[in-house]
Amino acid sequence: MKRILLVEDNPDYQLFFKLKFDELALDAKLLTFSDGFSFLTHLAEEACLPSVILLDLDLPGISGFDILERLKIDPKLKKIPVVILSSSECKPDIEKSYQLNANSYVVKPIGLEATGDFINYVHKYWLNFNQVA
Amino acid sequence: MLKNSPVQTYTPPNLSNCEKEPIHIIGHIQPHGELLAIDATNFEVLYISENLKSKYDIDFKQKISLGDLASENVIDIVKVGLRSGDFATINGTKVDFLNRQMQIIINKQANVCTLEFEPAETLLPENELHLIMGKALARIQSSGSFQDLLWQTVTEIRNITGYDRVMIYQFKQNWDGKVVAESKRADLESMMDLHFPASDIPAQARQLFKLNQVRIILDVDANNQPIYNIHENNIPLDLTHSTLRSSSPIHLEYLRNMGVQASLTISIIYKGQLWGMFTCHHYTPKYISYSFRNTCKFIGSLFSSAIEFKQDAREKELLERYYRNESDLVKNVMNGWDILRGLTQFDTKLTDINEAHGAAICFENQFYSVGISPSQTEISEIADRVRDLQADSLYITQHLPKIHPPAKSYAKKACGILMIGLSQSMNDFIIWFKPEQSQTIHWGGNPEKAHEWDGDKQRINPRKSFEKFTTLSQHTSLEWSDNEVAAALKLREDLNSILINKTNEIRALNAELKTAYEYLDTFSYTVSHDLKTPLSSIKGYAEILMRYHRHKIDDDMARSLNQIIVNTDKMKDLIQDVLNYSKIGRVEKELAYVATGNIISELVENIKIGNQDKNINFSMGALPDVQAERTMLYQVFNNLMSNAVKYSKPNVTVDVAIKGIETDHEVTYSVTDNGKGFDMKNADRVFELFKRLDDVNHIEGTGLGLAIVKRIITLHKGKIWVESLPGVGSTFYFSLPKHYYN
Repeated sequence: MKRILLVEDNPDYQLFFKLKFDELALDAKLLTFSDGFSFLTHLAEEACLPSVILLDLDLPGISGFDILERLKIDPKLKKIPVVILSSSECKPDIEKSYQLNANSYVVKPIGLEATGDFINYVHKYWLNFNQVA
Repeated sequence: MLKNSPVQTYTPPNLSNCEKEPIHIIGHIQPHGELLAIDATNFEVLYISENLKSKYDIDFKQKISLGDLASENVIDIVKVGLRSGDFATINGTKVDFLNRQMQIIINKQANVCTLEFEPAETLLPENELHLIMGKALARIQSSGSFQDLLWQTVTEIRNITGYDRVMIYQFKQNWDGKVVAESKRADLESMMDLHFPASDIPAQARQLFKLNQVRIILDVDANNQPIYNIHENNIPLDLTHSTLRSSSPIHLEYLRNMGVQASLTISIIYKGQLWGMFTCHHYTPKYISYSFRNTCKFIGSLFSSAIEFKQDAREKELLERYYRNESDLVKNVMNGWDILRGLTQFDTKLTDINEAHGAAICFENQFYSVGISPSQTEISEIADRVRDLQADSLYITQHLPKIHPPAKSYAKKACGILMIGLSQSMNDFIIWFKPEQSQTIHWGGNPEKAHEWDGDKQRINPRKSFEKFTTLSQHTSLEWSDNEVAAALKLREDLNSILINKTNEIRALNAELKTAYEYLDTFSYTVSHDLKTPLSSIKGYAEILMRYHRHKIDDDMARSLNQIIVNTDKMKDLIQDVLNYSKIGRVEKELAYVATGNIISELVENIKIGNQDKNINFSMGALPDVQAERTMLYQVFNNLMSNAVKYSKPNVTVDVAIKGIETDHEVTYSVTDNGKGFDMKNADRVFELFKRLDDVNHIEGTGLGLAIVKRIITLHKGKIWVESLPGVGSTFYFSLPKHYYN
């Protein structure tokens, strides 16, 4: 089953994602990580690559930018599409993300329903339309 | 006289050595007195004047001592003087000399002591002399103005001495002289204000006047007595301090040509320099005694200190006035931190810190002139010329036409200039002007022909004629005094330090601004992140209740939950607007010609989709392109057009008209609606941050939309304004300059 990896420390966001993901009953699996360490450990152990990574920038421990950088210099992991999911609209954040080869930058949806819309888009686009190498 | 006379020979000067005429060793004395010079150690007689020598029947080839020629009392006086080293107190003492009452005057040069004998005072008793002197001094001291002082002094000297004419002759910078005060016998023609060339009193004569401050010539036609050199050793007797020394034949002829038979001159020393002289003329031979002359010398020194005092007081007062005005100017500049305004727009003018008639300032490409000044073009030509001369931030001349011939045509306005630089290259400067002083100068005889070569006598002759001769001094202004220069330099110093402070202040402001911007970055991040995250939670949980627990809550609770959700949306919009507003100032503007038409049609579509409940009719006029930052311009039109729809009247077709008008300099757009309108007294409030008009509180809005518009337009150096009529509608206008950077 295709997998979506969410790296997000805010439990409210995590909850909204889980609730909506379940409600939408998509043919995919959502795995949530609250910090970079557990996320990177998971990636190292898991042989099969996820379809997309939704990555927050403001994380405890290893920052989102550091995670992004590590992913994109890793010959194996760099093919995985990374969507930056941040509440920041600051131009420097956006620019830096693309410089580190993020595949997309999205300002976090606000509330439950908006999160549901967002999951739908992600599923449709990154899991169905997008072709992975 | 003896054969092979050992008398000193005197060679009159020719043209080339005129200035060097050795008048202090002239070798003659005037015949009214007698002279002896002795060795100060052994009293051996070294020199004797012919008129004295002839009174003795002695062989002067022998060694002769003072005792052989004079009585004990003379020897005693010499001894007393030599012991005390001060002859001033004993000079003038009456002695019995060859059975005559004589006044003795002694001076000592190296080891030679010169004794001079003059007829003793017979005219006035000592106490009467003191009385006259006291009165004279009182009158001089009580004089008011400077000119009054001069006049009182010549009057008193004439009263005391009885000369036909007493004048004060003042030297100018080039040693030409001018008669500045005169008291004379009524029948004589006045010499007041007459000028005399410097060569009339040559340098070595001025030097003697400084050392020996009283000089009497008894009779220009007197039979001068040679000085007999007993040792025949070719060393002439130095007469620098002599009172009997006879004059140069040239000077005597000069006086004769003037018709003067006798003269007395008293030097006026001011601050260690020869300032001028009291010159007394008599038209018949005239003698006044040593005591009398001493009285005059005393008056002379008193006068010197009086001018020192009066001149100093006058200069001090002037300088104080200049400095006072200078500090007013500086204060005015500091008040507004504006040099041009401070120096030109207040009561204290640039011309108040000196005697200039006009001034101009050129600062940061701005120009301003005051008083009588040449045109701006003429002034910048002068400045160019001064820069060519590599003047070092200060340039002064009284003769502008000499260095800058075009100035001849406006010398009436600017003949003297004083220029100070306010920047290194003198591109910024202040310049003061003094007009040409086309002065008529009256000379005592033609100054060009002060002396004539006399072929017969192989020497120069003084001029024969002292007929008034008039010249016109051209292309010269009054001079710039030390005080005027000092005040200008003070102003330059003060302005420079203000300029430096101003630069520092701007630098500090910039640093503050940078900090403020950095703070703003943090602020907008805080807004976007820290506010939005909890907002998302609030909304999300309300939505959870509505979606997954709807069956457990009643309709009232559901309505409340819905209000929470609606209001979090409002808050989200508000946060977005605050973010947008704070971004405007910081974003690098990339100006481009924006196709306004495209933006507007895009917005028309969006607005129609978002307001499907309303019947909207957009009409467009000309939509010229403008030079702007695209996303900002988009926001301007978005806000104006959305407002036009938002504040419409209910149940009426919304008419929105958009059009642009282009002129040479700007493009003006207008957005007109047929909405609610507002009272024009609120016209300014609509653009203020977080200000919303009272009657639109029920309509959703953040109070930021028009503030954002205004900020964007201002940032583009444009203008925004509004016309409105309540119940009829509003028109918002904004104009943007066409050549933003040009």
